[in-house]
Parts: sequence; structure tokens; C-alpha cells
Amino acid sequence: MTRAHRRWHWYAWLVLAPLIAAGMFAALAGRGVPPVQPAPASADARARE
Amino acid sequence: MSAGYVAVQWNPYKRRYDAFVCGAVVLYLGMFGFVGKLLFRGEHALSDEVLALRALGSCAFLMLSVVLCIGPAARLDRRLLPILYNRRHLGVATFLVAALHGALALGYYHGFGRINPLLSLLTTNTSFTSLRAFPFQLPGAAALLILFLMAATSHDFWNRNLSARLWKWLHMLVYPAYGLVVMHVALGALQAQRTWWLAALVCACAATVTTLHLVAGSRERAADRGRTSMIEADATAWLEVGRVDEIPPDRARIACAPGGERIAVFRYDGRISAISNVCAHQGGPLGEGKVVDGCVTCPWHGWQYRPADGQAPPPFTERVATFRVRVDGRRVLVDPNALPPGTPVEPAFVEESCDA
Repeated sequence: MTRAHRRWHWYAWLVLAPLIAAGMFAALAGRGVPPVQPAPASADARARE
Repeated sequence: MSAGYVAVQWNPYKRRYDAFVCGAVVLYLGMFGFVGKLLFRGEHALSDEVLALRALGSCAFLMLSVVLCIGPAARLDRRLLPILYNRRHLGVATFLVAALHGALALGYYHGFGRINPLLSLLTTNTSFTSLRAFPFQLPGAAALLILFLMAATSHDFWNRNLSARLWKWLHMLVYPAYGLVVMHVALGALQAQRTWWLAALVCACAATVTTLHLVAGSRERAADRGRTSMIEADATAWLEVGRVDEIPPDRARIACAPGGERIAVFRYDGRISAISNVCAHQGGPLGEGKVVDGCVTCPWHGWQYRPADGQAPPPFTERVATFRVRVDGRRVLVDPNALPPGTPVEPAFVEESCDA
């Protein structure tokens, strides 16, 4: 590879790495808390007994 | 290296490698379908189309991650070089799997309406300000377009007609494409599927790819910026390469000219010659190859050049730059000013017995 290509590789990943990391963080943080699954009806019935 | 073009440049090794890749893809898709049917049953059961979509999408993501790891991994460990030689076929296979995923998604989610599926893909969802409802299909489609361009121009015909330089730049678009694919997965699959292992798998793939590239890149950069020793003689600043016995027979030592391209200094048949380290084919590192049948042979795809004039043997016409060489005592010196490609240069003669 030429020197210019090596430099391009380096700067491309220097930019991409934090972008990917920040993107992943934002996407995972943006998911929020998973909704609580309702208890099965049979469990509700047992609890009432 | 061949005088003409063939549709697919197969040899026994590439056939075995391609058979392995095909087998691995079929096995992965089959296992995904089987496990998916086992895990999602009853009211959570997934349709065959959705299972196939997920299987193809995850397979393409894993394949692209592997393709991107091969280059830096081979730079860090030379034992992985044989995989690098077959990377192009794996890249085309990745595009085919990704294209199947894209076509299935387009048909399944946009193919039953009254408007054109492509128009539907581009216009239906415009929630660009929402992370959870972002039209994640768009970065995926953009990445697929880049992969298509790369696969369509992967043949040596395009390499020659677009020029090695433009071809290489075009194929470096795979890096932004990977960023788009990660965005596609993070805003799509990771929003719909909240299992920790899926998020961990995607993060691990992205982290491995970026870390390998950064480590290999910093090492290459350090080599380019390494300290060089210059010696003034005959009104020329000569670059000191090292001692004669530091160059193994039929191999090269790579010198980094300050601010210039790398120079491959070969020792062969009691002679020393220097040519550009950049192969005219795809920029492969000639200095990491060896002299076979009197010709420097590129380690990437076997293109050959005569060490004394940088010209490919007939009937080939490729040429690389040459450099003047001299041996001062046992020190090898190179004039870092490149001569026009194919310029014959008198080799420096050395006593082979001085190795002892």
C-alpha cells in the first residue's frame, strides 16, 4: 500500500472508532428499560388465594 | 498474474477456501433456522420469512466483520496471510448474503403495497429524530449499495481499467460501509431485540474490528515515521538500509524513505537491487515477498517484477519504480529518489561469503 493509503486507513479508523462506540452507546442507552412482562394469569390467581 | 481475464480466478486452494465459506454459510443459516424454531415457539413463533431475514442479516454482519479483521490481523501475524489472499471471494460472498437479506426485507415489508417497494423504503418512515423509530433500513441500504459497487468491480478487469489507485480508493469505502452496517444493526435489531447477548455480540464484533485496525494502523504509522539514517556521498543523500547480512537471501529489507514511499531492497544471486515496495496490481507489499525464478514475487497475488529494472517479465507490461543502490563496506545504501518505473539500475554486487 502507498503511504497515502496507510494514512487514510489510520485516519478513517481514528474517526470511525469513536463514532461506532458513541453510536452503539447511544443506541443501547436509547432502548430504555425493557417493559415488565405481566405475570401469567395462573400466578395471579395463586396470589389471590 | 495472467495474460488474460477469466471469470473467476480459481486455483485448488481458492476452490477449497470457497467450498469452506459456502459450507460455513449454509451451516450457519441452517443452524440459525433450527435453533430459531426451537427457541421461538407457540405465541412467540417466528414466520419462516422473519427467521430467514434474521439469519441472512446476522450472517452478513458476521462475514463483513471477519472480512474487515483479515487485513489488520494479517499485518500483525504473518501466518494469517493465506487468508488475506482469498479475501476478495469472501467479500463477494458477503455481498451476496447481504443482498439476499436486503431483497427479502424489501419484498416482505415493502412489496405488498401500492407504491414501488424502493420508493416505499425511502419515504415511509421519516422519524429521523427518534432513536427507537429511526428508519434503520436506510443505512443498511446505503451499505448494501457500497458492497454492490465493490463486488461488481472486484474483478481484475476493473482493477486494470479503473487504475490501481482509483480501485483501491473505491474499495476503501468498505470502512464507511461497516459504520453504516453497525448503525443499521444498532438502530434496527438491537431496538427490537433486547437480549443482552445480541448487544454483546454486536459490540464484540465492532470492538474487535476497530481495535485490530487501530493497533495495526499505529504500528504501520510508527514504521513510516521510524528514524532513518542518511549518509552524504557523491552529492547524494543515501538512505542507510542496514548490513548486507541483515537481508536474507532472495528476500528483502524494507526501507522507509523520509516522507516518501517504502523501498524494498532485495538480495539475490550475490546482488542487491531496490524497487518500490508498492505492487502495481493492488499495492501489495513487494518487500514481504521473495525472489522466485529470478523475479520479485508479490505476496498478495503473485505478480512478478525483475529486481534490476522493476519490469514484469514478458508478456506482462507492469512496471514499478527502481532506486540506485550501493554497498559501502558491508552497509547497503539506497538513493531514496525514485527513478521512473521500469528504469534499469545496475545492481550492487556483494560477496555472499561475508554472511558468515
